[in-house]
Amino acid sequence: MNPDNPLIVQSDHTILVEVASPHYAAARDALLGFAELVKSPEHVHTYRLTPLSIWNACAAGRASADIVDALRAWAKYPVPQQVEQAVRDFAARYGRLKLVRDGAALRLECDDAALAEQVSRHRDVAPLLGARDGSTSFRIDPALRGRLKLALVRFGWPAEDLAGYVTGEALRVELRDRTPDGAPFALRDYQTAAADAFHAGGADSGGSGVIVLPCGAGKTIVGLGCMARLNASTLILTTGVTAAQQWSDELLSRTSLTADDVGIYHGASKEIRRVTIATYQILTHRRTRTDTFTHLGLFDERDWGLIIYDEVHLLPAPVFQVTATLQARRRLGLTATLVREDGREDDVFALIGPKKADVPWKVLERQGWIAKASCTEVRVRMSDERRMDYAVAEERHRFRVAAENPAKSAVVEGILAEHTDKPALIIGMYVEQLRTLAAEFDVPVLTGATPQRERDRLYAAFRAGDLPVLAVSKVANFAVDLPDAAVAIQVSGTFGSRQEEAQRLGRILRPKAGTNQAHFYTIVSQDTVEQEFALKRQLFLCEQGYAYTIIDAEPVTGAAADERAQPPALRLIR
Amino acid sequence: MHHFEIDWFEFAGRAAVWRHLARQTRATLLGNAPSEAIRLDSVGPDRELLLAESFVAVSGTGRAALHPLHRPHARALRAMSRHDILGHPTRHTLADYMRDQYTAAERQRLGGEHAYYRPEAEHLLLQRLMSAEWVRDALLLAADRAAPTRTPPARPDRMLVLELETAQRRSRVDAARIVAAVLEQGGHASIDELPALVAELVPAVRFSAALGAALSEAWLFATISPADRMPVVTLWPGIVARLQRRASTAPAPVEPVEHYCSAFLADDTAAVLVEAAAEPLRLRGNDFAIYARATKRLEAALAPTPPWTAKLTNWSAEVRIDQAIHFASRLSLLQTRGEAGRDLRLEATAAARAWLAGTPAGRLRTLIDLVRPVHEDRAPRKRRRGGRSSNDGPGLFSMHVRPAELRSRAERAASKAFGTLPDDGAVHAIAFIEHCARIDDPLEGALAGHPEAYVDMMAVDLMTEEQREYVWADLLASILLNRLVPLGGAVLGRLPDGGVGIGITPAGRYLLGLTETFDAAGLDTLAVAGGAAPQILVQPNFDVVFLTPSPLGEAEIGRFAERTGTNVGTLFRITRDAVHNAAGAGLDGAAALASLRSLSSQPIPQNVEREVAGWFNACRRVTAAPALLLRCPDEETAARALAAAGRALTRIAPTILEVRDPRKRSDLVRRLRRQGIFVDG
Repeated sequence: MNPDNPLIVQSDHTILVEVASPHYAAARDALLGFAELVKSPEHVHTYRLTPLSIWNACAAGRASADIVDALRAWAKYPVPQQVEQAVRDFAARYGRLKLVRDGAALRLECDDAALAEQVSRHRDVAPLLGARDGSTSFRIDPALRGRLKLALVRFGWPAEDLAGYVTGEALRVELRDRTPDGAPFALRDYQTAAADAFHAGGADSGGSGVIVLPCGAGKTIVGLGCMARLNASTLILTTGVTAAQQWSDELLSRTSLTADDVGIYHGASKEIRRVTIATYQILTHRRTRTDTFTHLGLFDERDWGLIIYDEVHLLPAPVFQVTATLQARRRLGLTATLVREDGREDDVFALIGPKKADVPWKVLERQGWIAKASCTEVRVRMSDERRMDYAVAEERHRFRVAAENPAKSAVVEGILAEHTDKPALIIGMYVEQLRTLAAEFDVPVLTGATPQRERDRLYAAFRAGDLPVLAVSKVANFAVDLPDAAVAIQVSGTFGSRQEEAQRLGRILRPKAGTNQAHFYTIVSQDTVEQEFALKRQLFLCEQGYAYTIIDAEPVTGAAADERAQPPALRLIR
Repeated sequence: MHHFEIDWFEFAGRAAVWRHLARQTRATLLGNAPSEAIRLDSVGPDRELLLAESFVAVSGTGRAALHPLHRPHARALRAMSRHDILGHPTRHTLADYMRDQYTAAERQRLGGEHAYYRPEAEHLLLQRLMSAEWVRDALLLAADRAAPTRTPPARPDRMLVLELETAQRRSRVDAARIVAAVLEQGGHASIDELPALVAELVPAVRFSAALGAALSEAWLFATISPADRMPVVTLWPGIVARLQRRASTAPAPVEPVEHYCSAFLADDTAAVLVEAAAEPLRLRGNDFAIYARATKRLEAALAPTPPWTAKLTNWSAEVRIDQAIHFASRLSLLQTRGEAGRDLRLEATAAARAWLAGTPAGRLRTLIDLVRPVHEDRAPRKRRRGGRSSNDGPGLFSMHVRPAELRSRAERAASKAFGTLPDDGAVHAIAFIEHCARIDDPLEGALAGHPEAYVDMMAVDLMTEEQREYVWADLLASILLNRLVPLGGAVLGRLPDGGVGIGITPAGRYLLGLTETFDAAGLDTLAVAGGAAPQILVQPNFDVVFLTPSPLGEAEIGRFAERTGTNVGTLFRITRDAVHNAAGAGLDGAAALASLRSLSSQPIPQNVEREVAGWFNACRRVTAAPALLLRCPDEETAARALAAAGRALTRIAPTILEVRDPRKRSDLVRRLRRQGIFVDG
């Protein structure tokens, strides 16, 4: 036993890492190469060894012996024999199938005839194989490269992809050392490390993958860093027009690219330039449900050298399908929360590429690159009348009855009163609720129905400090850069969505002047299904090390809630 | 005897010639039946010697066969060669030998009084013959230390009988002297050398009778040495080993490299009760065992034991669950409800909830008190509730020892034996048990006062000293493995050579009745190598991570959290369902949180504390009772019924009335009938 070592390797292939260990940093760096970070709560982080993580390590040139040695070197207790054996077994499968270029086509080569036979008889793999070329080789349609790799991974026999990437149309991209307003600019260490991990010195082992960084940690900047390393035309896919505009602004202010080089492709303007920023919405647009997707041709409009998938956890199904055919192009996925409620995280890794960097939120918080956040769940009772409405409501309507509890407004008022000097967002799921609150506190409300121009105006006013409080619906969940927002008040959410909770916290995590402190409040109705969903929503952030404080608002009677006669609830709490 | 009624002195002389024969020749002669012809060309150069020494005779027809003088000796040699007593000294070998050489009457004589009426007579005879006790009398006789035999006054008509008896006694003494001499030679001696060996003890004229007596008494056994194919006499090899073994010395202290100490029986019992409180454990109708699904659930809830302890123990999950159910039932924490084949089940009682709500030390003490011996020299105590008297079944011993006096004697001896274990060190476990079994024999002499003394199913009076030693060692081992270790009374240690060491804890001394109290707080730290405090972390996502092993921590947290792992790592996840199960089993929220706080090496995250408290606080206990309702067709009828019945009815809805006392139903029906309201159903 080595009590100072930080790792506990468990026989279910999970690895616990003790943060307080003096060797934590070294062990974490060792693990990143072959294990996936699953969760990183306060004291002990959890990694997992999966076949995919081992195969990705093999693809990066690591041998199974290295992996076992690293586990042994940092383990507190002896590494379970079956884990060591599993690592060897997984690694032994990698490289027995090779995907190689053969002129314009591809060829899948197996290292023995029996394996070739096994592969050729697999239900999902067989349709993707072309003509058999000898006893151990198959011709492959280049368009099926991604789907074949995915099918082989699911089959348990990964293909070593040696077919390489197309270089794409050349485009010189250089990072500036000062932004146009004179502020110094350089990649932070973790951003540089992430970009380097993606690029891998230009080798085929790099060039595609996913980078996971917390909200506010500068994923866009990492994207710019990758572009500067590849110097190729780039297609950037993002979640909305606002995010596209932010990308454009960042490209123009932090790189040598000019306005002529950068185009935005969305409903109102369809500019295809050497760097094109498109939204997932436009790509998946079609006139009717049975029609074809009109804009998917964008992928073939230019000889893209890099495709960046911003907020890759939101990648819609049609883009998944197209991505499967784009395996010859370099692909970069960016996300803060690779949590898909549809469970397709593995598809992201298989089609975009393996995780190349994953920095725990709390690590960047400690380094000051993102704001410290205090998370508070405020539980509000419902008035007797509301409680009866809740009791008699149908199961499916109960959540809404609880979420729209009018008693929440007193708490919102109390919170706003607590943080009068800080820009605040009131975030909700139900537009009516937001409108009611907006009217009550005399603040503008931004929803999906708000025209883009009005959205831009409101965002700009908020950034400039002209608007201290802004009410937003879920349109502001992702990729909206509101650097000064320091308080978020979540009055309702999409049921138990962990990803939404994390993204909403992410809106206030940009580093702040002074104490660098942000406050995230979530208001839930006590003893209702909303409280249960809140517990589930908080899971992701808890696993990132955020501890929620749960407090009760003062009991609110129906009359008092309606008349809002009592003092702000939070003051009563404190 | 079938083949050994020969002149042994003469046989010894011929055996000396036998020694000069080639090994192949000896094998040929042993393989030849006395009446069979011998091919002289197969004996090579020994031909002349065989003819000269009258081993073989050639008839007038030229047929070579065994010499008639040699035939009795040849039969004896062949009989010896059939039983490889030196090479395979097993019970089967002895049984075959006895059947082959002795008549039934002789075997009965050797078997003593039990040989006549017991079905296991042969088994008992073999046990006697393989016991050192069997020859111990002979050795005393040889040393002239046997009890003197009273010689009756001589009467003329009894002279012949007396002479015969005297000759027999003399032969027995001579036989005993031969036995002693053979023992000195290492347990066996070649028959050809034996006359010279005992020449000073036994005159040549009495040699044959003496050796015959030794064989007849089965003190010695005649066989062929596998090494040189020479005829030898031998004591039973097991007896030789036992008589010649050195005096036992106490095992030396050892230095374990890893320790394990856990009162896992208490934890298992808690796990069973928590499960049973959440959902009764259904029992199969045919064998009254719990169903596999419940077993699986329970297995998952059991704290693991280190793999190296398997060298000494055999704690399968099924055994542990059975033990926990047994203890819980004995303490009335579980009770059987229903009928076989009709929802037969084990339910946790109210006492179980009280037990679960207790402190770890309190829970453990309850279990220990159930098995703790009641020594008469301690101040008389009131009989414990749910406890046992000294005569109502297994206590310190997990097998039946009766009568009570014998059990009490054995318990004292066991306490004394385990009391010598070190408190802060360890000795080799198996060596310790063997040593204790050798230096004390509480079963010896049990027959004197208690002819019905039994250990498990074995009558003590029929046991040989070897059996008593074996049974006593078994009893000690069963105390160690079934009582001391599962109840935290012993510390096991992994030894560098792969063995297992043991030491004793305060709980162990209390369990053995050596002290009147114990402190359970020390149990947990003993489980950690080096005695460091356990490191347990509660994370904001409700995971509970054990950075070091802590069986006590596992037991405590396992009462209100779902197990996800074992030993070290993420072992538990606190969930609402698990908390509700715990609350249903009677666990108090404040106690659970206090336990969590005391175990966690970091403050518990506020959200976890708050949620756990909230989940506990949300639990309520309600009573289900059947109700008798009157469903009226309209409100007017309900009003009339209320008016007629008065307080006998309560309105619980506009048209539904509840009968307050269903036992007065017929009276109520009569009163309503008078008002024209007829009750159906």
